[in-house]
Amino acid sequence: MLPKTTVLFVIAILAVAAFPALAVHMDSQLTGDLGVLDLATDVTFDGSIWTYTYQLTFTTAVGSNYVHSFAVDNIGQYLFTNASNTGNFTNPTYDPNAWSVDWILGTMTPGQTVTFSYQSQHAPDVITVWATVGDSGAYASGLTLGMGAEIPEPGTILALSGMFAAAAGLWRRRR
Amino acid sequence: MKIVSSIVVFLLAASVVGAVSMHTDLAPGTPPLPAPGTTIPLDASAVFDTGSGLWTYTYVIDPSNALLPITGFSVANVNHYVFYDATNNKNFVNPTWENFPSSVYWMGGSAPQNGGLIIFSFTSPLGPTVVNCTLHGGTKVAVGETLGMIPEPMSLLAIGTLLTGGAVALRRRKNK
Repeated sequence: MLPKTTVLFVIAILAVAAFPALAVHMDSQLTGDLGVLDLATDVTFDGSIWTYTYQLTFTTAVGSNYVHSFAVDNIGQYLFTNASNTGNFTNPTYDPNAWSVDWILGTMTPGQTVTFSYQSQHAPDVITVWATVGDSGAYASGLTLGMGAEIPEPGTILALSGMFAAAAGLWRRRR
Repeated sequence: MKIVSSIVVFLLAASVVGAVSMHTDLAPGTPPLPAPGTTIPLDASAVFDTGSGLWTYTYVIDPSNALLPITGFSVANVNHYVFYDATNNKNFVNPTWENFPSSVYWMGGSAPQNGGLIIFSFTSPLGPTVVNCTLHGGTKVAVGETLGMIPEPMSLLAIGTLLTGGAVALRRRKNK
């Protein structure tokens, strides 16, 4: 019989290996002749679906440029749902022929922050994807997180839940 | 030499008054829209209609070299000059000056690379100058300069300067 601490450690390692991340955060900047925008990206998993959230702040404008569009790569053309934003942009709906998730026809002024989001079965990829904003012949771009190829299987999720439950049980007994 | 100069000056003056055209090879931006080693050709024209007093700006883009379908095209209008009647021959949303005065920006389209020429146009009382433009394909971009609006006094100044230069050159030639 293995010691409980060893069992707990093994469960933790297996859990991390089986499911590397339930929440991922990334800070980046979009830069270009449009200006500078800070982008804080959060991807969270609630057990059934991933929620991608992009908090975009128009930090520095060049000239009188505004932001009228925001696009995030979707090179895999993966399905997404429930796109929304806290500004006045038109939300995208899934188009199997589109290569990006595009919020358009809105206006962001310097100093303003707008949060864009969507949901997907696809987990965030290890590699980063591009995000671009545009206006008046100018643009700014940078890296962020986007949908990857992996869709966590129910079995994986079940295993993960079982591991956490077992760990919690063992921890409680030990205490 | 002076003859050539005066011809050039008159041609320039005539072009500023009536019709101007400009070819641009849009270069890769970051991330790049054109395929490696290529550019995306853009032919722009601005034609003045004396009846309406409006310039018609037209942009013809060949997307064959793009890596992705074209989703947007924007022409600099940083000083919010008025424009009317924006159109396109694909499925882009046409901009209006009332909604987006900072930009002549066609968005929300999806024009495939092999779908033929893409044509955007608008009218304005303001004459042409050279401005920046950006072509979007998803998050990928191609950039360059094209024809865009300049305030009318600037157009008149440009025309006036060109005509004055032409007249001076002609007068000098005749005096000689």
